[in-house]
This record gives sequence, C-alpha cells and structure tokens, in this order.
Amino acid sequence: MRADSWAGLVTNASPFVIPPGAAVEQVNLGVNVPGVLRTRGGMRLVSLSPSASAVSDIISVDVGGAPVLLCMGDSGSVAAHSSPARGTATAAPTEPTLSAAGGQVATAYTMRYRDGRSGASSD
Amino acid sequence: MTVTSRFSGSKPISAAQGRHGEVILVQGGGVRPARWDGVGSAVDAGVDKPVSAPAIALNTSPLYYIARVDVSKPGACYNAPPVVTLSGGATAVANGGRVAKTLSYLSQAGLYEVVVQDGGKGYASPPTATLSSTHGSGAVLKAVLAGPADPDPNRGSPYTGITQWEIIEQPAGTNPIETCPDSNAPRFAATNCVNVDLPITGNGTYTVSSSSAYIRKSGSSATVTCGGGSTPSSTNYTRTITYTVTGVTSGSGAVLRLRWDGSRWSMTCGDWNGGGWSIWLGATELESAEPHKWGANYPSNSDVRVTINSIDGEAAQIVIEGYAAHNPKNTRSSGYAISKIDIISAGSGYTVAPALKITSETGFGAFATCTVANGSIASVKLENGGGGYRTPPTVEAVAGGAEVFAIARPHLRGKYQCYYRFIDNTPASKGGPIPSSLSPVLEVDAGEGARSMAWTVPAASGRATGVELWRTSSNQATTLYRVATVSSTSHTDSLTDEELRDPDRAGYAAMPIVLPNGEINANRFTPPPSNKAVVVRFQDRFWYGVDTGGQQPNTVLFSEVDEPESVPDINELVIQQNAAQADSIRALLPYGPTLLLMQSRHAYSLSFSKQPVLDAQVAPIAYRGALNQRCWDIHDGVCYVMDQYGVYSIAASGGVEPLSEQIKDVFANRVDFSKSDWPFVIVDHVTGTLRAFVAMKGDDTRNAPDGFPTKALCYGIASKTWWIETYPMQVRSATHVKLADGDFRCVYATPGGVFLLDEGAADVGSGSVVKVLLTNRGSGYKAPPKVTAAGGVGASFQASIDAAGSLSAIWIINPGFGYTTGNLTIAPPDVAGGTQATATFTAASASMCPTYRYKSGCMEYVSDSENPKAAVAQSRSISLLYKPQAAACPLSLRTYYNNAPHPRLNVAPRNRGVGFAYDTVDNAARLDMAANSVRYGQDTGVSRAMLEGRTLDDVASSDRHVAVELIGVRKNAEPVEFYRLDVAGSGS
Repeated sequence: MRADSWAGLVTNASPFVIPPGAAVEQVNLGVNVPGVLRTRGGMRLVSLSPSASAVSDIISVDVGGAPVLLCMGDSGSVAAHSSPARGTATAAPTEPTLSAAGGQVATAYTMRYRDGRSGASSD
Repeated sequence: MTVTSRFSGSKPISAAQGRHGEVILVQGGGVRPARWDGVGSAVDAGVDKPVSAPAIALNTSPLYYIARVDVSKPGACYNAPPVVTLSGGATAVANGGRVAKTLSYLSQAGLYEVVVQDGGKGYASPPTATLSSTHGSGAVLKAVLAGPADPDPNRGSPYTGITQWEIIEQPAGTNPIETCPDSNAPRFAATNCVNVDLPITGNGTYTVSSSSAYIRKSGSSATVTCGGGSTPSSTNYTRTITYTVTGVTSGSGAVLRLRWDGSRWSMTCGDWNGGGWSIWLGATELESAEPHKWGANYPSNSDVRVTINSIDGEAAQIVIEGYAAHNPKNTRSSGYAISKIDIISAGSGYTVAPALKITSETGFGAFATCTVANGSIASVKLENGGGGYRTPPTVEAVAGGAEVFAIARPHLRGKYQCYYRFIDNTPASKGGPIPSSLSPVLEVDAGEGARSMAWTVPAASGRATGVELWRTSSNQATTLYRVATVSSTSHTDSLTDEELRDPDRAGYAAMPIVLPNGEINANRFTPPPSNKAVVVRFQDRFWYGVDTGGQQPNTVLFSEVDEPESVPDINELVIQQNAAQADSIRALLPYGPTLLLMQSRHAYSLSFSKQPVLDAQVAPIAYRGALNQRCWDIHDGVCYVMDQYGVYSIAASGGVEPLSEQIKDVFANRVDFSKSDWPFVIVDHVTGTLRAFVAMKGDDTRNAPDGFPTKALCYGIASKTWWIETYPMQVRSATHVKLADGDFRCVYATPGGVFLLDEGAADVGSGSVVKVLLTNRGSGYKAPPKVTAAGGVGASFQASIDAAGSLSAIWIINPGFGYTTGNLTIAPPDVAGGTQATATFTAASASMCPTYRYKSGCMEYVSDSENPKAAVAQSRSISLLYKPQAAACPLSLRTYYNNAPHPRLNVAPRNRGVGFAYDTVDNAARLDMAANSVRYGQDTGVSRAMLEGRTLDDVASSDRHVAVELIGVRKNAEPVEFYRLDVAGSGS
C-alpha cells in the first residue's frame, strides 16, 4: 500500500476501511499543502506594550489606525495592549537528560529512552 | 493600561467597534456594558436617564422682544433700505436684554419688508419703530394757477392772503338821538366816513389810532362838548382802538380796514342841549370790514378773528373774521386751473421718478408727472391743470413715507414642555457627547407673559458630566430645543421663542420628540442591555444578543444608526421559530449583507433595508447552529461555524456544507460540550488552517468549569483534511491582528500571554511532562497498563511491556501542561501476585519540541488465498519518504498488528548504522532523519524498516492487518515533512 495523499484524520469509520493515507491518530501533523504531512510550528510570544500575562479572552480593535489588543485576564479585568509584534523566538529546547539505574527505564517526551537494565537506548 | 474591571473572568466578553473608534464591550450576566474610546478607562455604555422632572420657578413680570416689524405703508422713492429704529433699547439693555436688530428690504423703491434679525429682549414695553430717510428729498415744486399774479405787489397774495373779512358780531345799532346821553349811547362813533386799518401780523392785542375816529370812552358821564368846528372835545372819547387778533397760525401782511359811516348816525347839539350846532356822532354799526392788504401765506383752515371790545367795559364787542382766499369759507375767491408747475429745487436722491402729489382743499383734477436725471427732478409735465384751485395747490414729489410698526411679545407666553437629560464628555470626534433619554416632563404655563424661568435639576453623576435643558417653544409639544448645557444644578432661562429656535444661537439644537415616521427620537438613548452577552456591528447598527437572563432567549436588540449606546426597548426583534424544538440564540454573525442569528441548532438570516422594526426579513437558512459567539470565522468569503455536530461552512450563496463528517464521532463522543463558553474557531488566513479549539472529555479536570481548551481540531481548507493539534498550554481565545512588521496573523490568548502559533520550532511548556522514570517495571502484566498523571491537563502516556510481563517503557504521548513533578499512576498487574510497576515523572516549564504522531488505519496484508506467493515470507517493509533534516531529528516507527491497541515488540534487532534501527527491547524502529552525507548527491530522504512475514488464511495467528505509527518531535527550525508511506505486502 502506498500513501502519498494524506487524507487526514478519519475517525468516523472503521480503521479497516479508511482510505490509504488516512489516519486514526494525527496529532500536530497537518496537511496544509496537498501531499505533505508536516509538523506544526511552535509557539512564539507576541510582544505587547505593556506585556500581557495570563489572558483568557482577546479582542483586536483599532485605535487611531493602530492595532490594539484588549486582553481579559483571569480576574475578568480587561487591559489594552498596543504595538503587537513578534516577540523573541522561543529558545531552542534542551533535551532532557536521561539516566536510569539498573531495572529502571527513563523516557523523554522526545521519544528517547534509556534502559538501565539492558543498556538499550534510543540515543 | 486597564480598560475595565467590571467583567467576570468566568465568561468570555464580546466587543464591537463603531465608526468613531468607540468600542462597546459586553459580557451579559447583569454586567453593565462598557464603552472604551481607546484611551483611559472604559465607562458605562450609555447614560442613564433622569428619574425626576425638572423643577422650574416662573418670573411672571414680563419683558418683551420684537417678534416682527410689519410694514403698514411702503412709501416711495427709497434709494436705500431705511434703518429701523426701535424705541426702548436702552431700557432693554438695562434689563439685561439687548437691542433688537432689523434689516429692511426695498421693492420697486418702496419698503417691502423688515426682517427681524435679532428680536432682542428685555423691552419693558412694546417699542415704536421709526425709519431713516433714505429716500429722495429736497425737491420743491410750485404750482402756478391760471389766475391773478401772485403776489399782487400792492396787496399781497390773492391766493393765500386774507381776501375776505366778515363781520361776525357787533352791537346792534342804537339811535343816539333817543338815547344819548344815557348809558345806551353808542360806543363807537366817527365823525365822518372813517377808515380804520388794523394790521394783522399775528395773534395778540394791538392798538391803532385814528385821526378821524372818536370813540366814546365812558357811559353815564359822557358828555359831548361842542368845542367849535367839527372836533368835539375828547374828554370822554378816544381815538385809539384796541383790538385782539386770534386764529393766526401763519401768514402775515394782511390789513383789515374798518369803515364807519359817520353820517349815518347824527344828532344836533341844539337838539340835545339846546345848542345851535350839531355834531356827527357817527355810526355805531360798522359799515364795512374789508381787506386793505391781503398779506400772504395764511393757511386755508385758519379763521383769523379780530375782536374790538367795548371801551367802557360794557358787554359789547365787534368781532370780525378774515378768510384767506383758499379758505372754504371765503365766498369771494375764485377757482383756477393750474397753468404750470415750476421746479424750485430739483432735490437729490431720487432713483426713480417720484409721483407728484397735488394737494388742495379747493381745486381738484390736476395731474402731473416728472422725470428724474442724476437723482434730481429734471422736468415736470402738467398732464391736467384741473380746476377750482383758489390758491396754488401743494405739489409734492412723493418720496419716503413708509411706515412700520413693531410687534412685541413677552419673552415667555403660553405653555412649555420642559425636560432635561444627562450628557457625558465624550468628544464630538468620538460621536459625543452621549446623552441620556429625557427626564419626565414638566409643563410650565407662562400665561399671557413671563420674563424667565429658573430651572433646578439634579447634578450629573456617574458617567454623566453635564445636564442639558430642553423645552418646547410655546404651545407645542412636538419639537424640543436645547436651552443650555449646564454643569451646575440651576439655570435662568429667558429665551424667547425666536432665540430658542435660532440655529445660530450658541448651544442651539432641535430635537423632535418623535420622528415624522413615528419612530421615537428624543427617548432613544436607552443604554445597551446588561443581559446580552454578544454585540456585533451590522449595517452601522450595533446588535445585542445571546441572552443571559433567561427571559429573552431568541431576542436581539439593536441600536440606532451609528449610536451603539442607544438601544431603546422597541428596537427589538424576536425570532419566530419555525423548528419543532425550542432553541436559543448563541451567536450573531454579520456575514455580507445579512446578519446570521445562530441558535445552537438552527440558523436564521436577517436582513433589512432601513429600519429593522419595519422591514427586517428573517428566514431560516440551516438546521445547524453555533456553540457560541467565538465559534465562527470567515475566510475567503466563506463562513466557517462550529456547532455541537461539527464544523460546517456557509457560502455567500447560502449553501451549507458539513466539513467534519470524517471526525463526526469526535464531536459526538469526545468533545465536552458541557464546557461551551470557551471553545472557539479561527481560520489562519496564511496557512488556510481552521482551528477549532475545544475541551475534550476526560482530558481536563483542573480547569473545570472553565473548560479552557488545549486541543484544536484542525481543518486544512485546501486539503480538506482534519488533524488534531495539542499544546502544552491552554489556548483560550484568538483574534486576527496586524503585527508591527505588517503581517496579518492570528494571535492566541494563553495563560502565559499572547502567542503566535505555528511559528518557530519550539513550544512553551508550562508544567509539561518532559521525562518519565520507570522505577519499578512490575510484573504480571499481560497488556500495557493505563498510566496517568494527576495535577495537570492533557498529559497522556503509553506503557509497553516485554515478553515477561514487565513494563519495558512508558512513552510520553502528550506532555500536557500544569503538572508538577511527581508519581505516575500505573494500573495494577493483570496477574495475581504480580508486582505493580511504579514510575515518576518530571514536569518542567521550558521551551520544548512539539511532538507529533501519525497512525494509519489497518492495512490488510495479502493472504495466500489472494496470492499464492503470500504463503511464503514476503517483504512487509515500511518505506518512508521524508524531508531530510539539517540536524538530528529522531523518528519512531511503531507497528500495530490486527488493530491491537499497543505496538508490537520487534522480534529481531537490526542496526546498519543508517536508516531504521531496532532491537527487541524497544517497541519501535528508530530513524534519525538528519540528512546523511551522500557522496554523489542529496540524501534521498527514503528509509525503509525491513520487515517480512506471511499471511495464511487458515492460520488464525497470521497477521492480517497492520497499522503504522510515526511518532516524534520537531527539533529543528525546519518542519518535519513526510511525503509518502509505503507498506509492502498490504493490498491497498
């Protein structure tokens, strides 16, 4: 079987009949371009003036021709934040250090593992 | 900058922006909507109306203003509009008023109209109006009669001189012979026929002496002494006549000649006293009174009266009246025609030829015209000389003569409807000031006249910063005029009706209470409702819907045009439901020319032309709805909406297309619709990705009842495919905004601030599970146990077991967020006597790689009955075409056979240094997708996991299906991309 036209998530059907390329699990892999199954990007903070912390609701308005974000915080207080811009890119992640004693197995969210018993490792 | 703190954090807010930039924010739930103008803090939306009527005290002592100036006579020959002067101006000013201003207008050289520019005020009484002489003047014309020359050089004017004297009264004639010397002797006597001339120079008492008159002075003692000759002794006689002239108003030069006939009455001395000589005592009775000289310029209507009193004091007098020639009493004068009219002075300022007015008390019929040159009378043409003129008539070049009169009215008169309302200080550039509706009315009756009314109103409070006073002009109740805007609580109002209605008056404004079409006007400023959770702008009106009070589930209210804070109660539309099931409005969706009223399971389109109350059309368009106001977005002209059945689109044509049939079960079974406040839909216009953030059942307990989502059901609009995105953080809301670099992007609200998604390579973890340490593998497990973590949201794990029934590893499928480092909960072993595995996890708040996971459906292997070759070992290798990465990028490939819930361990190891490597401990084949250094060209990006097997139909343990899982992380700046997956040995 060859799958080169990713049909996306199909859960409302038997896994035995879904078409080639379709998925029963498809997380953080999108098909924005036909034929390309691509991981999503990360998160990048938006710099605002003043900066915003916990935001529950966000509304964009125009103030004097400039965009302003009205951000509602957890308490319900609404604040205005101007000058939205791409903030500093999120720093590159640090790979979690894995160590396991005998009989233990350490795994990381990056799918690595270290088996303290067998010494097997995905590194 | 805090805008407002009025809202609760437990519910979303909604906002719409007006044409002046004002933002209306609502939440419902009884929270007063807010208005924010882009600076400072928000204020209450709308201004509350006053609850009490104004208090007004009337000053009933009237003062006046000039209502109008009427022209009673237009006059003639005006060369410029005359200035109207009204009396009483100084008094008006002293009364605190001002002088009225008028402007006159001419038509055909006559005064046509006087316009009152400013009626002034403060006049103590109605003034009189006078006009300036801005007309031709100075022409002097003289009529010449076809009669005697005027003047007669010897006697004076035959026309205006006194040409007739009439004896009105004199003592009756008495025979002196019989009476003399008794007391009844004659009082006037003359020795002979005597003429006595009395000059008539003016009113007064004059004396004149006559050399021939002898006038008895006394009565009983009178004697006549015959002194010889004809001259009697004058002892008792005088020669001086004293006379009184009255009735002269003008004129001079007349001389009245009196004549006594001395021969008429005589006696002989001898007869009287025995003497032998006689004396002529003369006549008592005047023989005649005649004009000796006429004089001139005596008016026609004056009767000149000459009175000569008795000398001796007895009650007797001579009265004579003189009549000028043109006096109607003059019976001697003759009438003549006018022979010509002379121009004595041509005058000036005549712009048109004036009419010539010929005035006479005697003659009639004359008619003349004139011509004008250079403003002066150039010629006079006598058209008809008329007749009967005893004296030359007056000829007047008619100019000026206009007359006007002022109509004054009291400052206040009649009945007035008085109101006030509050206003705020919103600048005009922002559509302000924003008013309230009117207070209750107070009717003030000024009767026939009053000077002023003193207002007392409550002080402005809250958002209101001022008070506007409004009232009608007198005796009408349909149009209000603004009296003043005050910041205090009192104001004295003496505005006249004209002032009140004057558009040039500072502070003027007019406001019909009700518009001609019957719509309310003055009382339309009802603040927006507090029980509507949603506001949108549609066709310059603001629409408020989604009831939170439970009383109006299918009602929308709308504002007046461009007045988002004016939402009168009558601006209400109620959906007439045409569905069998009750439903309620959940969202308002402005979409092209229609406003979609979205219930939870039904959609209606609303459109109107001008006034929704009158011409709104509401029609059902779909049996789909919306979860809430946040669950729709528009992309490329197509509206995408999420309801509890899934995601669908509404095209501009009205067509509805379900989009989420592939994952319908997710909506039916996994999405937690009990948390329907915070799900939202947004379309990333850059990638064409629709993200429907929802809360899933069971994956979120900590944030209940908020239901902030962490997962998005994503739909590629171009590819028409679905996938799921998970984030190590709640994603609570999103909006579109233009960034500083000009890019238009979606930005997302999270507990950690505002983020762009799908940007860069790293997520921002917040209490996310980054590693797990299986501290005790346990034993007695027949199947991988369920592994869970507590204290956070969304983390999921997957255990694998080895052939001995111990856990070989615990995979972190979703790092989740909000966790603190702790122990995992692992289900107990399946076999009695087994040992329960234990594990710990580490949570961190740091940047982290996005994880990904793809699992195919179950692909069927070809069996020996389908292909005899399948009876022997066949390649079941799995090939993957991917994009080689610039740096290390691990991929795990796992296989699930026969729809098993867990991947199968490998039965043999393989590691050739490149490509997939696997062993018998790990249940995955591992691949580093980093680009390999290839001697002759690019890395092919193709790797194959070498597998083989056979499927025999008659062997139950033969593998029949395989599902392939790709699981890994994005570690590099470039995304991981897969292009093709080949599974050898599978049929389709």
